[in-house]
Amino acid sequence: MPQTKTQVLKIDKLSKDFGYRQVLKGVDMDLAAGELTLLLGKNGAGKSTLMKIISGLVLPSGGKISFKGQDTKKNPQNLRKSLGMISHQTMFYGDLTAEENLLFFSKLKKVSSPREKIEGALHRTGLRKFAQIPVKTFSSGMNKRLNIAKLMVMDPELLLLDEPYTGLDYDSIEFFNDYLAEFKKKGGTVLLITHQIDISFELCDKIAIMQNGVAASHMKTASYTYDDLIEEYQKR
Amino acid sequence: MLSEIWTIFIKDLRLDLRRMENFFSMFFFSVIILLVFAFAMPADKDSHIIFAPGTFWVTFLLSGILSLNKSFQLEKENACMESLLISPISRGSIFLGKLFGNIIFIMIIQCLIIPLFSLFFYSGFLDHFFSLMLLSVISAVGFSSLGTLLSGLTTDLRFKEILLPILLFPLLIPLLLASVRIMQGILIGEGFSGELDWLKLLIGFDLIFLIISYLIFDFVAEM
Amino acid sequence: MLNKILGIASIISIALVGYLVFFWAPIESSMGIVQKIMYIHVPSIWLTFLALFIAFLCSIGYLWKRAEIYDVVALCMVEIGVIFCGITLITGSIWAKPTWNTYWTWDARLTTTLILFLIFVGYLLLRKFMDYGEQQARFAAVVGIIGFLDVPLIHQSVTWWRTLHQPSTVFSTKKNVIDTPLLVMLLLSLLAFSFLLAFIASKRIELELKSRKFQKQIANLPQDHH
Repeated sequence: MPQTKTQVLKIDKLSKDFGYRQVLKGVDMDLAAGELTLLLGKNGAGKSTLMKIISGLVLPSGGKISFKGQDTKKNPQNLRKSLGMISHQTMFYGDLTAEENLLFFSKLKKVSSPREKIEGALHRTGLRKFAQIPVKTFSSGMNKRLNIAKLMVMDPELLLLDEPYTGLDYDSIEFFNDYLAEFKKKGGTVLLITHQIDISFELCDKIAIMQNGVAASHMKTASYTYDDLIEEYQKR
Repeated sequence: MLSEIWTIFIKDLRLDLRRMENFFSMFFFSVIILLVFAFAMPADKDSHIIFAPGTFWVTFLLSGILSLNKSFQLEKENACMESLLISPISRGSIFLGKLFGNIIFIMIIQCLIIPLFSLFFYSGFLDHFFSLMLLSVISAVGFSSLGTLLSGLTTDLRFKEILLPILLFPLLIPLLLASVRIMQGILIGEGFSGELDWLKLLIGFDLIFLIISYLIFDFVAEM
Repeated sequence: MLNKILGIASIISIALVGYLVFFWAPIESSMGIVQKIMYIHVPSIWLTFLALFIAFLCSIGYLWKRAEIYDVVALCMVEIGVIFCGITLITGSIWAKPTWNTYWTWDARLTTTLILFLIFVGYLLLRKFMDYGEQQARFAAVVGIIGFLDVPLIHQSVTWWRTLHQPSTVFSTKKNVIDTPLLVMLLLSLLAFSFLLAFIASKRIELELKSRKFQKQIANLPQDHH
């Protein structure tokens, strides 16, 4: 039964122009605590742009985003304190070791007792023996796992994930999904972009399909199956 | 605030240490510029003394540009800048952290260039080592303030290597003129007191552009 | 409509000023006929500063309000400012040749004008090296602001730099020997050039707005995917 959950992120009539082209025309979305929203759409539909706007890296041309009832334009720090992100790029300094990278970002976030948390996260992601190695030598799978370790250390409330599964092997995908399930249980909110719909279908609570710069989310009801989703997606 | 600036500054320093090629290329670039000047100038001691301040500050500007170019290059690799920008810190802290990193980098180069300069051109140079270092610090503040702002602005652009000096050098003319003039005063043994007006202008330049760049960096840091 | 009025006003006033300069204004005693270039030179530099000042205000306005119109006005004003600045430099050189027997001298005002020219050519280059968009407007505004704020410092430093090398005797006597007909003539030509500035600006802004609107329409045409 759908129960009323606390609203975390509200996106209202969001639009964005890149150059002369309007990439986002009107995005409305509603993300609640403990929910994972699956964001689908063709390449170039504007999914990654939406992520960047939510994270505050890019300012929207119009519309409003509120995080826990507060306009993120007026109070960006509030969102940044609770934000975790995985994107196409590794987002780590290649010349620093895995541990130094995590320590640097946890210092900026003022994580309490960071060293123990980093130790634990590296252990859980199986990167402990690589802790003292420069990140530039990491494979893409290891980079993704290091990103997951970063999320564990930072302990965010809102996750923005842009293709987090690419480069992960089967075990790691399993591990990451377990992490997401646990994260949801704790009341975390997730927005997930992926082309690997089959892996994430189980986890998701809401579905949003983006097309021509417009997107709106709807609930995944109990009767809604994976085939329904594929059908809905292909109809667009 | 201070701890954030410190964290970023230390991180930059550590990255510079891991990537000594940045430092060496900048240092040898400076040496080569000095060499070119040595060939271009008349060989007698008298003209060396006359040309010394100008030569010194042109070397400073040209090698400083390299330091600025690398400063944000480090952040652009692997999109680390994005990671930095979604951290709960103010853009001003990022600016100041980078600024201090740049100043220290330039100072280390200056430390090596001043003795070399006295060796190549004008041996009286080394007698004023500490005054010249102090002057370099004061100039580096203004140079790096505007430079950090503008290199943040040009990192993503086409032809950034040419655009940065085109934008930066005309703006730096007051700083260049003041530094040359104060240095002349130092070299004839008057110290800083000889050119007090110029010193005031230089410090004023530093303060104005430190504050403006700090305030305006928010707009450069958006993507 | 406003456009037309400004256009007519600038044509008439410039024609009138052209007539007055050659048939009414007296020939200046010490410099002779060449002094008449002052009626282009002086208004040009004043309007350069006016245009760049408006660009400066619009740059602040853009960063503050993020409305595209500020960016359009700033861009057009810098373009016009750079053109007038170029006219100032060229007429200055023409004037300098018979007066000081050289096309270029490192006079404080001349040098400041040259640096000003370079800074705002840099502004236009920056825009050229970027694609149209919100980021282009934002970065240009940043350069527009710091460029303009640097001008007093540049002028001060260049003045000191020159005065210590050679006392500028030519310049000190120049200004106080200006008699009334000359001053009236100067103000008239300033007025005429102001009309011209307003006319070019309004045309240029209109053109830029139309061009952007058109580009947006093309870019957002419904496309057939695959």
